[in-house]
Amino acid sequence: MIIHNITNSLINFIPEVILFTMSMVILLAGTFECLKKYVFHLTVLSVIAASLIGINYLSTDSHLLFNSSLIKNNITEFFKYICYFIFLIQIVISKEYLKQNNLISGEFYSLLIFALLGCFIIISANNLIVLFLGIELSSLSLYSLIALNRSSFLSSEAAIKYFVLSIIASAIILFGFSYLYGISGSINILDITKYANNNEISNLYLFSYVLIFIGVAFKFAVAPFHMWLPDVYEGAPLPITNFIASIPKIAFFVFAFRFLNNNPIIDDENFSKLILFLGMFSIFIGNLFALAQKKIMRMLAYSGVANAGFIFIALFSALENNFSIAAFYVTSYSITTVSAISIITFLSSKKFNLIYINDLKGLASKSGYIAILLMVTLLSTAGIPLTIGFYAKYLVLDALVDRNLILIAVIVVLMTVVGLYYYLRVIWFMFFETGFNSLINTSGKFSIIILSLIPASILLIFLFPDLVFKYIFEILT
Amino acid sequence: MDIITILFYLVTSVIILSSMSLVILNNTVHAALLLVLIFFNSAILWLMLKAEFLAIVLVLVYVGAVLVLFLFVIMLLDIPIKKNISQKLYLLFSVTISIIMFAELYMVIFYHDFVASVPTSANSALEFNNTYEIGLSLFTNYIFSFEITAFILLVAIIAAIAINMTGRQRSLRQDPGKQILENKKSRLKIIKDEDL
Repeated sequence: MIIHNITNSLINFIPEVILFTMSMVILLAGTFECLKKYVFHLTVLSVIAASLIGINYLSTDSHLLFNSSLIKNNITEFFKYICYFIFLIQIVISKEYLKQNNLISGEFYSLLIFALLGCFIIISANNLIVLFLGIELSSLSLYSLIALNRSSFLSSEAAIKYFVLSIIASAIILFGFSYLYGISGSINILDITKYANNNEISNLYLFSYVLIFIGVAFKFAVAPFHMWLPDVYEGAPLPITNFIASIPKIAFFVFAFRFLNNNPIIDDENFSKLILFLGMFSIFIGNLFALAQKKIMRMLAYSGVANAGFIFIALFSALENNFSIAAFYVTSYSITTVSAISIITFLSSKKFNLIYINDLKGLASKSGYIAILLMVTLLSTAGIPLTIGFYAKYLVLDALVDRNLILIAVIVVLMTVVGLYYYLRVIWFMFFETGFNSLINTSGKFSIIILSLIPASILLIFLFPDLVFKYIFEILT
Repeated sequence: MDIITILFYLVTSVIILSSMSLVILNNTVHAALLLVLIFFNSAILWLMLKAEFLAIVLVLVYVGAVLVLFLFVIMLLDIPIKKNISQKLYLLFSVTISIIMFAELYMVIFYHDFVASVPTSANSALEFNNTYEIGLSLFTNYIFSFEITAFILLVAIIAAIAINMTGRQRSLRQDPGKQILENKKSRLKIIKDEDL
């Protein structure tokens, strides 16, 4: 019976099993001189194979795997496929950059796949232990991926900062988990939700949730816990920054969703106020600090802080278990930020590392197409109409107005307008300044085609937002 | 107060005091030895909860393996003991924060009744085999968590080796692997006369 149960679970879990085995194959391939150059191809192949084989095992009803330690349903699969898409774009674009910085090795790609798998486990975990192990798997791989770049002092600094602060956040999450277990007597998240629905919310329950969400806020880099983000963005190699900016955010959104879904705590006055306050503070800090940045990655980091604040406000607005707004925001934000960082990776994949914002000057005169791609993505992060970002921000504000929180909505809009300045400054440098730095890479037809995928979808989804939003709404409610 | 309660308070106060002094102490060797004390006392806590397997594992794995490794690393690194570092500002800040945290925790936890909800083992220690039960549930119900733990350890090993191996060339020794892979084409370039 038990064996049957485990084999049945393994069949449903086959994409991850493939990725686990392939990551070890890649690790081994990296140690042979003759196979070293195929490491990249193996990685792309295994991710594509895992995602294609996963399609065969899609089903509309939800399964509990491995004695209900994992859950598999429409929600997890939707977010996993977005992760596959993002991950593929990241590794394809970053190949030249990694070659230039001497970072291509078996360890690099296998750790990257482990980080992806950690995020997948967070997405599908239904058990506090598995959830924590997923967090640790993804973050341990990410610390070491940053530290692999031994030649750069900034990378070492970023790795240490990320490691120490992230470990503290994990400890806080674990502390919250321990009280949650102590109150409900179960490590199964579905059972915990059942307990919360049947019993009155005690102070201790609230306290454990606060601890867990402080950890989540840290991983999202929401304002009082955002200190690590700019240094990590600046110090980590660009492909790793690309990963940290997008896939863990999706994973931790699902984490938050799993803890808040069907749970009466979302209507608790104190708890929802905490979420709202964190979100507001984050939008405030992120937009103001981004104004002063000269380096493009630090600017994107603070814009990430502001957007994380939006995600928290969207979580706050999830009245009557309607998490679709937050889900839509997370998806749109992570896809756009991947596009922005990928374009920067592409531009600095020759000898020259693009660091300062004014390194971008005159880009339009050299390659107007890439400048337009970057412009579309930046406008989408800012939330200008004709892009998906506008629609996402509009939904959040709409939900706030529905809750009669008009003052907060006005403040959020004002801060977004402030934020527009630093996005437009980049666009100004690209289009209206002269003096192009010839070391910036603008060649590579295949990469440009890959890069234009996301901006094209950003524009398309603005025209037909219902296509995506209806689907997200359907699976989340 | 029965003897178990007295023992509990004794053990926990030793744990709390030694972990506080662990953070404050300047001498790293003393700190590591205090960690040994903490682990032994936590093992006693496990024993009081009738979890003798976990108690033994804690002592064997942490004290026997991990902390000995710690002590080796400390001795190999030979970190000089720094004295008179001014930590007053940090101390003030951290003490304030921890007092606030403690007050909050005390207020929340002290008024909560845990006893009703935490599952307790009904069997007496004599007819209950701890090791057997842990092994059984580890390889059936919690097999997935067990495997993921293995992968986390694998990641740690890969990371530790990869970080130390890449980026630096320490010696000028010859690399046999590269030597074998060299062939005529990579060494010799034949240029025809007319090109010159």
